[in-house]
Amino acid sequence: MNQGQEKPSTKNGITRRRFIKTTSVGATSAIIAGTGLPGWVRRAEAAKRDHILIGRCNPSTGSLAGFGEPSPLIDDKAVAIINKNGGLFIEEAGKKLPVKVKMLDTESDSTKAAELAARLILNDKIDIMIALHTPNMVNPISATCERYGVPCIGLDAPIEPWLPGGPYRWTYHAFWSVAQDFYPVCIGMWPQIKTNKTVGLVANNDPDGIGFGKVFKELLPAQGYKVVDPGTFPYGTRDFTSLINMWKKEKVEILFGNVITSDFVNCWRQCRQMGFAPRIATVARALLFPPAVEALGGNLAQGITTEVWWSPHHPFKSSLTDQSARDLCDEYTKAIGKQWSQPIGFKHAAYEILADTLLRAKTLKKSHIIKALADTKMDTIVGPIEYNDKHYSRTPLVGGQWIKGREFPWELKLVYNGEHPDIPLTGEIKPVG
Amino acid sequence: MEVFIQTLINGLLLGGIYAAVGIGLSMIFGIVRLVNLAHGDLMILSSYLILVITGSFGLNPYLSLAAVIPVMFIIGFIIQKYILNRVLGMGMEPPLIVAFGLSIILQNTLLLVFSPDAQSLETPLSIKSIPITETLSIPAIYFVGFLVGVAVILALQLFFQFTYLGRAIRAASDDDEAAQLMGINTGTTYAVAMGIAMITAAIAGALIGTTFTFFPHTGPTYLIISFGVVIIGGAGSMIGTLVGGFILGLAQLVGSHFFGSGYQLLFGYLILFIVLVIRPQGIFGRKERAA
Amino acid sequence: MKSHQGWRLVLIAILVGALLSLPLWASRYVVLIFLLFGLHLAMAQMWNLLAGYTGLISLGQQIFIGLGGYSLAVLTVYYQLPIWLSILIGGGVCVLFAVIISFPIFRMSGVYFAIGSWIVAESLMIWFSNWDYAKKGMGFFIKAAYGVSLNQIYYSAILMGIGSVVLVFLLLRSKLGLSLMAMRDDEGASEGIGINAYRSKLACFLIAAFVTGITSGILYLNQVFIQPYNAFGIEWTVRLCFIVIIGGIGTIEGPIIGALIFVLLQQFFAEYASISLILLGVVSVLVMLAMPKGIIGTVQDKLAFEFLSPRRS
Repeated sequence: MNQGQEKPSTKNGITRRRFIKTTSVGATSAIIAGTGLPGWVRRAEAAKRDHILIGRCNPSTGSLAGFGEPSPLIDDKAVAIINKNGGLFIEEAGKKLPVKVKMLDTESDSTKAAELAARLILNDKIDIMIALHTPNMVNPISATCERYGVPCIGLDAPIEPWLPGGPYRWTYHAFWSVAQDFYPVCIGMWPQIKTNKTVGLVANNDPDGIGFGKVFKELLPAQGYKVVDPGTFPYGTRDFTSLINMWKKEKVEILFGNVITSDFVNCWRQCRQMGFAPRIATVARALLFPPAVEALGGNLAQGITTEVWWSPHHPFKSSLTDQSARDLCDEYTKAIGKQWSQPIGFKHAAYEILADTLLRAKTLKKSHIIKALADTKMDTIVGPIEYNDKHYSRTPLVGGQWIKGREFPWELKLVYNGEHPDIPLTGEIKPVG
Repeated sequence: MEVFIQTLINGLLLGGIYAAVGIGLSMIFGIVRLVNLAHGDLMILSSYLILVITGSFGLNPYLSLAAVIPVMFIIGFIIQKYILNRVLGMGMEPPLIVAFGLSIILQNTLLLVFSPDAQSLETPLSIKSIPITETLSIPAIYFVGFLVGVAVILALQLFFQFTYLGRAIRAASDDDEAAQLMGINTGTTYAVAMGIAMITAAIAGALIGTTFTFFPHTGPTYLIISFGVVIIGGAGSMIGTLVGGFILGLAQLVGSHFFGSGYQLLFGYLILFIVLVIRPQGIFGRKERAA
Repeated sequence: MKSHQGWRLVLIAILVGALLSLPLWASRYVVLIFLLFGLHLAMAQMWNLLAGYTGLISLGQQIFIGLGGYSLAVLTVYYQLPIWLSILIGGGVCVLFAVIISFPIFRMSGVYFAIGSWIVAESLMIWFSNWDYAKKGMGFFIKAAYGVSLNQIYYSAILMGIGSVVLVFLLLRSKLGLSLMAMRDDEGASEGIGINAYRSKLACFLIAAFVTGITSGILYLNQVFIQPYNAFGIEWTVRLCFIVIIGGIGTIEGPIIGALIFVLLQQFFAEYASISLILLGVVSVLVMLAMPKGIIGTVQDKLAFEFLSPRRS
């Protein structure tokens, strides 16, 4: 009605009307164009590809970077072997398809791991997921796989913190159990050094820390050990005075727990400062990797014991390359000049399991893949793998101790193998310090 | 009982370190009326710079600090002059957001450049202690931190009271226009103040780096501690910051003594929160002008 | 006037129609992207309501994100309550908590309020990571989510997003909204004409708590796994803050644009996450220095044009 009198309000030469017109047309055409775009925007069924796509969420950075470091080197090598003769035979394609791995950095963050896993499943439409490296990574990734129905090969995270996410349908996991593997190692290892059997707990507030603490608190008293528990603490706790006081007061001679590296470094230094010197210190997770040990500084790491799930001394061979554990470690050191670390074996084993499963399944249909996974019975570079009805397989565990080394600043010696005498010892256990 | 005394000693000494951490934030909050949310990250940046210098030249951390101090001064000066000064008059959100942005940029750049692994500055002091009695001892590194913290605060107090520059800064803070009328370039003055705050951050970075481990995301933890110190003690007051540090350190350790280590940080927060509610200007702070 | 009204409605209708029909014509990945968009939009609208219109800069919205998510986890895992009921109760829990902390928190103003809200969030993080009932730092697997389809979650997310826009739109035109405008212009004078500033602020705070809590429930339904360090982490405020600032604080369209940019950026850089955060930081700083009103605010200024927002000036 007032159109005749309306003066176009011009700013920068654009009238209001024209702006609205153009944006709405633009938006509409964008949406319509969206429906015309192929591939990632259009709704599509299972991807028709000329390769097998594996999803791999790796903690390349963050507090778990020590676990993620040997990737993608180890993964690439393993995949290269699988693809050497063209790959794995898939019926739907009628020929061998090569394996391709898409690796994303989770930054050691559980939420990010879940997001990236969802992205790999929905955007990249991966065929199979490989989930490794501590409950913080494996738990969210397997939960996401369960949610969207994608087969998942899990490794390198203790069984107990993983089980609550079950019962699992799509995820198959292999590692050791705190109660059935780590506990026997400890009570087998500890009596070799004379102590008063008083154990002090040191644990973070997370699945690893709580899981370990719970199991040991339940089982230790039956063996005549007294447990002193100052309570779990969050990441980033700086001052351990009250814990150390409690341990000193109760005359703790065995320190045990599961902590992240940075918290343990703080704690151990303060122990030294406050004159708390246990005869045995068995700490899971914190001192798995050489850089972590070096971060302690000085001679502080001498004599600390930790769990050993894989080493160059393990007498297993790879089903892919026929290499021994020692061969694989040497290859790794030669390639990038760093000392071996435990996850190397498990990263390699993931691809062994993958190849074995697909060789038997011969298909990318997800429901068939999990059937094939369930039937797995093979020997890998980390030991034999055979999943039980709860979808997990236990791998062997022995005890190790950090000693000042010759070839490298710190070396991990195997000092206890009670449950697995086939894994040779390379040193004798000594008290801390 | 003796264990409790040890806790008290440690808490007090830790407080000295916390005071050193917070003094930079206190200065800027009191003087420029700006909450520098990137304070913790700038401190960690100093720790990393010291790490680089000790790594490249093999010096001990305290010597490397001497090289890092001028660098941090310049960084602080530039940030204030070219970024923060420009958002000063614009109300409360812009400075907060800009500082927030700087914090995120710093954290993630450190993440890219250095690995996310925990680092620490090596010094033999970290495992030594000074025994007082059979069961009591003073951790050497806490003691050094405490002394340095107190020294820094005293030095600043003297600076602000007796030097021209110090008084110029206080003048600019009290009344921007009047200071300009007196010939003080307030923009540059603020920048210098920030530079000085960064010097304290560098020193704090050395203390923290030698006492505890750090990694790129450690910044916000120390930011919260700085808040604690500043709010409890009162912004802009040197003595207040010292007292705030003591209270915070004691609260943390005493709390963890009675309730367990998991709640250590919580007690610091509780005290901080209570102070925020009943006396936000802190023990020694002056009542804020209606901003 | 009428023709402008017409164009506006047509455009809104097209966009909403496209969003609601998305699962029919787009891939699952695009659905996921807009799912995240919907969630972040809802939360950003609430942050904007507080910071942009009520003058409460909150660095603690993650309080409600954590409480909402944990309510869903606890209620479905321990008591087997239906999912949607649990999410709703989660919203209620958030409102309750907001009421409780409003007593101490509303005594703080400006920057102290911001810090205070952050401290409460950090305290909750520590509390939950020590609390047996909440499974401490281990977190929950929200197994009830295993059976929920992506499309279901998508629809709830996008409805929350659209709903939050509608909510803020209506709110600003209501009596409460006019009170907010008056308070923003001059709080003293507005009290003089009988506006209860405290009540208005509290109302917005509670609304924001409720909506954020419910949105968080949907978020964790999608995520399936909740842990205290993430649920109560400051990262949430970082995201919301950047979304609102870049989009344009104090406008209704701002969070829409901001959320879209954020989610797309996040996906694009999923593989180089630190870079995406550095980029976000740099853009936010530049925006604050050069265009403090954000994209929409600057567009509004230059083109003297309103789409959904009443002028914030």
